[in-house]
Amino acid sequence: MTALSLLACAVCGAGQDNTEWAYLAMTGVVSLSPLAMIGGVAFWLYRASKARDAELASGAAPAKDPS
Amino acid sequence: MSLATAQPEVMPAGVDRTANRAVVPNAVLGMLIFAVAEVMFFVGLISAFTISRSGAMPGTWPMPGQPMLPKDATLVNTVALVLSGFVLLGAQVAWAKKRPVAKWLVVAAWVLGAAFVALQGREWAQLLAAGLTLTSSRLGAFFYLIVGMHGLHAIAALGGLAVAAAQLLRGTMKGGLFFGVQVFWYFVVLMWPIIYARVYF
Amino acid sequence: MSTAAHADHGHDHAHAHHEPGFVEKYLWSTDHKMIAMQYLFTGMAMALVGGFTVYAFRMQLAFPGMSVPGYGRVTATDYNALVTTHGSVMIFWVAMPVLIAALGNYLIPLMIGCDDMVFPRLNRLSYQLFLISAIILVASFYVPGGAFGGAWTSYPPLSAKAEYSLTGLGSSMWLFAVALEFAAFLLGGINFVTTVMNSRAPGMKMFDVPIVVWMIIIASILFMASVGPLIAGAIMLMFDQQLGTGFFDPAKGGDPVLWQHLFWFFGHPEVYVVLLPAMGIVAEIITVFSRKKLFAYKTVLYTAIGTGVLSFFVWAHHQFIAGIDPRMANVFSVTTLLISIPVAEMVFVYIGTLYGGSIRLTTPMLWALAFIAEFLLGGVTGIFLGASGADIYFHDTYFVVAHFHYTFFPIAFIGSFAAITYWFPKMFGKMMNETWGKVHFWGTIIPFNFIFIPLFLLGIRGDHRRIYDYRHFPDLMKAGMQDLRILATISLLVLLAFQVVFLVNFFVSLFRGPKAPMNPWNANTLEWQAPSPPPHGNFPQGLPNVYRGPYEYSHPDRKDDYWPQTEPASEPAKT
Ligand code: HEM
Ligand SMILES: [Cu+2]
Repeated sequence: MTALSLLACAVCGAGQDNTEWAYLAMTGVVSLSPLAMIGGVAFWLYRASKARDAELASGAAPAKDPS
Repeated sequence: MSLATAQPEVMPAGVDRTANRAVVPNAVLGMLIFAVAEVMFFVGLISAFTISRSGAMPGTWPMPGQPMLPKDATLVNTVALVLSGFVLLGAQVAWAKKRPVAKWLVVAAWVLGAAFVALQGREWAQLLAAGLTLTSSRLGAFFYLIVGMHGLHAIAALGGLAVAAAQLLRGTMKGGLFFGVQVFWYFVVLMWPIIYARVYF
Repeated sequence: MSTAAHADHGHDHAHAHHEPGFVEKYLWSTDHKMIAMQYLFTGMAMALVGGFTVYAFRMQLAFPGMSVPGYGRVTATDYNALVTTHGSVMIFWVAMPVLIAALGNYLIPLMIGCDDMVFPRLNRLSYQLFLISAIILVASFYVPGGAFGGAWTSYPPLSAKAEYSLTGLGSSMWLFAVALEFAAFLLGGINFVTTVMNSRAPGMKMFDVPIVVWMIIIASILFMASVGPLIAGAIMLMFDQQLGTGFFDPAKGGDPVLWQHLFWFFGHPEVYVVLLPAMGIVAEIITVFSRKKLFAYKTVLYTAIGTGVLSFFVWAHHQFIAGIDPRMANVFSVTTLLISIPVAEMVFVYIGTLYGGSIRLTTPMLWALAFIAEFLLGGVTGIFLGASGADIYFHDTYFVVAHFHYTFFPIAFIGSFAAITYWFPKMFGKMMNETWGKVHFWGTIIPFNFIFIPLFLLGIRGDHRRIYDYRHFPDLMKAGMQDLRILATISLLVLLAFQVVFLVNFFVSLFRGPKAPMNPWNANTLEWQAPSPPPHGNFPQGLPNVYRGPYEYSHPDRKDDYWPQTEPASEPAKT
């Protein structure tokens, strides 16, 4: 029971090195993945809207109402 | 476009309102944003899994006397699901070229996806029988939670895919729904190998 | 009720030939303005719930053991439930619905010049989910065991087991309500981003979008990108509560600190989710009432984006004493100090906008200025807390409580009052009474400071924040400490009393106020080119085109000191 309740503390339980590593790694993963995804989508939209602007400027037939 | 008939006089020549700035179809963008939020949901689950597992007392993951997760058998499911993603991609290509085969490819993707879900169901039944339950260990809890959540998404996506297939077969498909469903299905497909690699090994 | 009329694309249904009935018009509408009103009024009703709970538990703190008029004796269990509900309601059921959902729904289509959201039925669903979540939360007061009392952060193991929390059903209802509410805002956010991306009026470039719309968009993206892990955590906690798993229960080998990470990974971005829209509101108001172009539009925009990016890297400053890796604490200290830079920068830009303007101190302008001043105090005290060394002392004292009220109150209330008084003429077609508006302003701002400055002082003296009856803690009853508590509570009573002025002014103006012209403040943005209030479809004279940015006030080439975005340049435009 004592060993189990020690686990309440993430930095003093069993497998200490592992837990430290896991917390650090997951901190990285969890904070970077939203930024990567948002960045990706934003960049893609930026390129697509550039392309659309160019298309409109060149007087190409406008696309149908998409929905 | 309800009010498009009453154009204001100030509208400059050459600007057509139907050419409004829809850069990507609404359904695609909306579903993409939803998928980002969903990916973060799974990232949260997987990070919780990773941390819990690394903090487990030595020898308790998996608990002695409880079954290992069937990583070899699950390879079959994995292949089925990934394949269905590629088939759906093929359906999109065919649809864009107005090939009639598109609708059959969607049906094929659906069947592969349904096979995945069915195989998962069988796996669960076996594991439960072997004594791995939600409360038998934290591995069990995480397994049923993460895989179950993915399964629910797969089932929802299959529902959407079925609607899309029905519309394609009836020839009433306009596109928006198809794109949205595709984005969601690719999300389900791409999420799985990550879960598989993390949870089963 | 004819659901058939809605089976179609939501845009079209109102042009069916029949007049919409009451249910269809007010309860089942897909019109973005009506949904905004639903969110606004639900948010206001929930503010009353939040206000009532704080009244009851603050009375207990100042006059322990008394029978509170209108409530009765506050027991220890009651106290916990009241504090928890107060915090949850004010953040999730007041700040979020009013600032993001109500204003986002109302302003986005009007300000970008389109007739509705791109997914109107999703929008309606969003409100319905939100309403259900609010009802569940309030209902949890009436179930056996009462409402959840484990604080708005819901830390396990306390929250994980009914044996500990003594509110088995209440805890789960709280959790379910929160999760449902997040689903509602997820749907709303998808709508906002897609609409702004795809439905802007012709001619409206990225940098012609009003700052408040940008801010709501950035906030929605932040919300959607950070909420996933919390929903994951919420499901795990729900499993712990109802199915007996042990994700967070140390007795079963679980890790309670893990919940804290999942919660604060969302929790800190969440504070920027509500901050940014309020910042946007202030930007609109100070430009209009100082008749000046917004100083450094792009800087504000990029700063907001930078704040959003940084906000993913600061969450562990809430856990400095939770036993996290000390190296991690250092990193999070630094990022926390870093994030105050963009926030301060925005404040400076706003002051730069005010500088040299011809300022008109209308009620909305007073609110906007007060926002800047009061928020500054909240931000500055956040820096103290961000330094992990200082926080080891300050954590869980009333200093923290005062800090976040100096941020949240300006956001949730000062910002909302600014927005309501500013857009009221557009929303309801009536002018609000200025005199009573100003009475309400001073009657709110002055007591607000008299509530929370005492709490700062108490916090500096080590006053722990989670105590029901201080008489049991002689160290916290030393000279003057109880007097400060009483001062805070009395100020609260004054503040609450003055909200009656607002409500009366709001409803009297709504029904009896003088009719509002189309553009009472001579503002540039598109919503002021629609009738007050805008009809279904927003722009009966035709959807507008856009020719310039939103902040062209006092342009040297113009006779008028404003230049609506829709007005074509008569001579070749020079910018
Ligand atoms: C420059 C900006 C800010 C900094 C540096 C900052 C820093 C901090 C720190 C370090 C804490 C943890 C204190 C502790 O628990 O010991 C804290 C708590 C808190 N802050 Fe801030 N903060 C900032 C802005 C904000 C804003 C804008 C909001 C709200 C909209 C906010 C809301 C809160 C809340 C709600 C808590 C306490 C949560 C709780 O424990 O119940 N903060 N802040
Ligand atoms: Cu924070």
